[in-house]
Amino acid sequence: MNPASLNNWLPSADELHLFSPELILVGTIVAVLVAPLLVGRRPAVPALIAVLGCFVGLVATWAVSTQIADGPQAGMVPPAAGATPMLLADRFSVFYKLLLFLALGLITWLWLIGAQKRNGTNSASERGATEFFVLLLTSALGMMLMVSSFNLLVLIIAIETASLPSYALVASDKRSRLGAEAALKYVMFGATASAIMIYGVSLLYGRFGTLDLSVIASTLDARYAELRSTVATSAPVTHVAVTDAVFWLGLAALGVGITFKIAAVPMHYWCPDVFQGAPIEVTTWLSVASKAAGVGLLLRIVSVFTVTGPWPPPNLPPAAAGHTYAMTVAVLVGVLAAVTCTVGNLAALRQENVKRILAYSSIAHAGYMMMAAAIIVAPSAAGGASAATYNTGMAAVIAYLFVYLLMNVGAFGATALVVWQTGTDHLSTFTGLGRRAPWVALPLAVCLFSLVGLPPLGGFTAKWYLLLALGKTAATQPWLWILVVVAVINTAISLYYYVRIIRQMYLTDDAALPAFRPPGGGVALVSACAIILLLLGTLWFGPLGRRAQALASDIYARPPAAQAELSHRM
Amino acid sequence: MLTVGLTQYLVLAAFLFCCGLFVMTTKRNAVGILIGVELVLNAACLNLVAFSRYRVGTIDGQIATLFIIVLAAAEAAVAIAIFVNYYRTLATIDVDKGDELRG
Amino acid sequence: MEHGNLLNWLIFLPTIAAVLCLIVPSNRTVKLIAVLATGLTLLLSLGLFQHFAWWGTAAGDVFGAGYGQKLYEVTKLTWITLGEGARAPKIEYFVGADGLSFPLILLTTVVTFLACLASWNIEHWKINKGIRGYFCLFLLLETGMLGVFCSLDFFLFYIFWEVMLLPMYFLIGVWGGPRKEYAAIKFFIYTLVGSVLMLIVLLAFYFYAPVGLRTFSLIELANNAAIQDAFKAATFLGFRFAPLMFVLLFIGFAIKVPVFPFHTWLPDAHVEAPTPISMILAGILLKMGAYGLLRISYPILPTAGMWASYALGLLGLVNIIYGALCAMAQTDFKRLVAYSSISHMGYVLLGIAIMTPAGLQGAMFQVIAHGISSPMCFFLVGVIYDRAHHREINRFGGLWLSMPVYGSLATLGFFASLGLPGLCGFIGEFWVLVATFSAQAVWPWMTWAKPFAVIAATGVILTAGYILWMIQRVYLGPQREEYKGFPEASAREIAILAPFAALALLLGILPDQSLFRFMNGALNQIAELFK
Repeated sequence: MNPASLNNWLPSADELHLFSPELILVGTIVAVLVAPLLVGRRPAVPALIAVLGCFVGLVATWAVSTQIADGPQAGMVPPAAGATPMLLADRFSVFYKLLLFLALGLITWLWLIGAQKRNGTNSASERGATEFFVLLLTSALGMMLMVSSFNLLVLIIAIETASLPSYALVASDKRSRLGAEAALKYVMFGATASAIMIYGVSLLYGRFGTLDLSVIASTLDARYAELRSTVATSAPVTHVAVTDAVFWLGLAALGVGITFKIAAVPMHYWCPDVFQGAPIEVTTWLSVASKAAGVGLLLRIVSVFTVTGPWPPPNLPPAAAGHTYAMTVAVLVGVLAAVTCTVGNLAALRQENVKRILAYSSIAHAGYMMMAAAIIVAPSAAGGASAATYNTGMAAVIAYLFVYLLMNVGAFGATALVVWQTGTDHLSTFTGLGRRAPWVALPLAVCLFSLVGLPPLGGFTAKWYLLLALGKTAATQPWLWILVVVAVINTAISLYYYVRIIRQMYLTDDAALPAFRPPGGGVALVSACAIILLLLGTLWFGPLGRRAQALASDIYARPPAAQAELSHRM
Repeated sequence: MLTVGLTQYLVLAAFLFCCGLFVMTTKRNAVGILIGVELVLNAACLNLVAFSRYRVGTIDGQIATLFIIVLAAAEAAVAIAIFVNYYRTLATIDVDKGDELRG
Repeated sequence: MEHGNLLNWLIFLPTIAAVLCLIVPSNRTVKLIAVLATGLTLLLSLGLFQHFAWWGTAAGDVFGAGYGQKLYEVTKLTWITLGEGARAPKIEYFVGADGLSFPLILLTTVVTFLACLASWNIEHWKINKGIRGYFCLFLLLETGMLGVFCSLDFFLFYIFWEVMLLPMYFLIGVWGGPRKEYAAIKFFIYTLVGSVLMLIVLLAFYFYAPVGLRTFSLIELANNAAIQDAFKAATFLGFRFAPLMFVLLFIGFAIKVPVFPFHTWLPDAHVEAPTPISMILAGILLKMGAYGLLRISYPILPTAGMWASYALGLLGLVNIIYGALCAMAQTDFKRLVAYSSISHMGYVLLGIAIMTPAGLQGAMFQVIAHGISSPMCFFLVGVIYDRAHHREINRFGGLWLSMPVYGSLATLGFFASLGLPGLCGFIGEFWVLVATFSAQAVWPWMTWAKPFAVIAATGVILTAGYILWMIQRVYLGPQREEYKGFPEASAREIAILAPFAALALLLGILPDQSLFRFMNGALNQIAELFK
């Protein structure tokens, strides 16, 4: 390869096509920005452009999914020796793009209802429509990059692209005191977390000499293979662990950034405050999309740092297996997951504000999803995407995220309808809702019971696949049964606070509170969520699992370019 | 004659990182915290450049540093906009004064 | 296995009716639909007699060669496939009836129908809002209950077990008494804690079976020798597998029965629930615990059953004595009946714990007998509560004089509960006591059985004590001024009480022809698994 052509290198049309969803999103952002200049500042215009963008994006993602049917494709690789892909298009990232476009569409829908509802009382939010959608779409772009990046630098840029607009979104209602306070807390926490994470990345760069995750994975693989070949069955195991401080410090600092995005312990303190202070559309967006992207990032990172050859190691005694860094990472993630969901559920018990209850509930659900990240399974030897070796944990998370999106949009959407009507988000505002607005109360009840994880609703389906994944892997790693026990006990704890909302709606009533007519679009939104949840718990129980397995099947597969690169280095 | 090598840079970066962490955890003034964040980011940049120069031999790290500088600027812009918004509603930028969201 | 659709109709007919309830215009039509649907379900369930009425045939023809060999009205459809390939494990929609579930299915349809009739006067309740919602939930509850008794797939069983919770929560919580919210959430949380423990067992049963044999079929789990061997040898997080699973399952079922330390939800739920719901709670929901033990715990983990038999027997004793003593101390009429349920379910637990054919027969008989007498007692309490609007035993007196027909039926109902010979309660208690006394003949190591039988027998005396004392205070004695004008039981009330009374007499006089012969074969097969 001669240097001249390298200097002139630009991504090919094929490569650009792989990332058409992101490019369409960028185009939509530009369109939203330019539209006011052409048609004036009408609030519906940016929303319509956003919906259109989502639709085109969904179609483009669909096209990409057919293009990568044979395996993941790498993009943005300059044709030079030693160059590695910056972005990756695999089924996992395609799933996230679909999920994010779907979430984006639903949030836009919710925003439109809210704009209608607030018409006349709060013209500020209408004037801010352009800004709102630019920020929303930009954060979506960041989240898409987060789950498709395979390079630590791109990862940092993606996280910041997702975070910076989110900070501003929280303060998008400029007259709200709570919004200002929430945004301040969010930005302070976020800036701290990302600074620490970037420091961690610099350490990992020093340790491995690269920012590329696939190269880091191959280095770890090589080291692991070496150990496997030298350590005899009965040998002492002290040398098996990676004991260098730089590695662990870097990983821990990276973990700070990821747990911040997921709102997992120990970086969860911002979550309830921000969720309460932010406008409810933004809360919904953060609780669904931001969290989903964080979990996706965690799975990517864990898939790099844990899976190294056959698992459990064939010629290591079980005790020694526990000392490999992979096991340590898995156990750390598992412990964090267990603590996160317990903390979230316990803290939710004594909340009086519905948005805070749902915020803690989302922390708890992040905990459940993180449990799946503690699952280590062997990738297929050739790196191909054979059905037998898909990671059950990843499949479980994919199913969970899809259900979680519907549950949370339904629950927050119904809450929004009530809050816009009554003007407060205290629990008491739900009193007698079963009488006052039965067609908001019923879907909300369905979504809440689904969040508990009661059959026959989608929440149970999601939890079931998660528990099944844990149980399946527990055959080789029995400690995962502890996570199963923690998860089911947490289910029982969580019942109490979800039912508090339901109790307020159906078991208490105050004749002084008038009935009200919720906007039809809002009822349609929450009812659609509830109906799909019911279907996911019954007829679509099996199909959800199969689809999730298919989407998780190539998480460990490396794109052809990257593989050539790996063999070159090794 | 003191030779300046990788170790010295790393120690300096670690020192900066600790200073930044200390500032972030003890300052109650939002701008103060932001300065702490910048210190930590600078520590990371220093690390990246030093590793790039002494350990890796490619310019990845230095390119990353450029990006991080830009990111830090963007972050500061957004943060300060939010501070201004906060100041307009509460007439202070002491983070402890924001105590309406709790529980 | 004989395929058939009867059970599918039984399970989903109430669901269809519930949907209908939501869309029909008037409240009166809703009530009519509910009564028709439960009545039709009852009639359909009688269709099961075609398989079990076996005058003139040998027991083996009806019950098959062993446990689960002969199932009736089976439907087996693949619901969820786990993994790839033709032999991949499946979660199935697998329903069927055998001698164990047959009496319980019948009991469910009978009690639900009568409870539905008992709800007919819902307009006159203190909380008479949302009649549509009430019947809709009521019918969904019936689906859940029938589903539990018909499921032969553990996963399906679990789903129905949980499905039942939601309607029950609302039925107590919305239409209940003054402390309904507390009672409803307590019921919900207790039961959910039990069922999530069951979920752990569900997963563990699946994953601890050898690869290739993994299944959720309750029949397969009990009958497959390889799975049984794997369960016996396995450990779970350092504990022996079978005993640990048995304990987890037992807690889940014990909450439902309810067994002594887990019983505190029951008096609250019973007292606060409206009368028809109390009838269903006592008549059917409590039986699910016992059914779960007989369907899941014992057939699949027989060795653990041996291991736990002393503790379970002891808990049964505690239930009998403690429930009776508590009942004696109550002044609230409904609370008294609730505690008497705890006491009576103690016999069931004791009968199961000794693991002999006679013990299981006695326990199951007691299950059905209590399923008839306790809804009757709750309805009797409901009848006078409708008139007096209080339930203080000490404020009643001489009710028999103002309401002679009701008084006679009440005496019959409470005597059935007491265990008077000739009525259903007697057979169950007596059978359990005799079986316990002679348990050593089957299990020589059960040295504690005889003393237990003697202590349990004293429970009969305590029961007689509190029931007779209550009858004396409420029905006998001088007529009080304020109760003079009480109207006699209405035709509807008598129509509800009469079937219960008739069944109590039938089971008491012809225990074999009316019940034992339909289920003993199946129970003996379960006892065979313990060998």
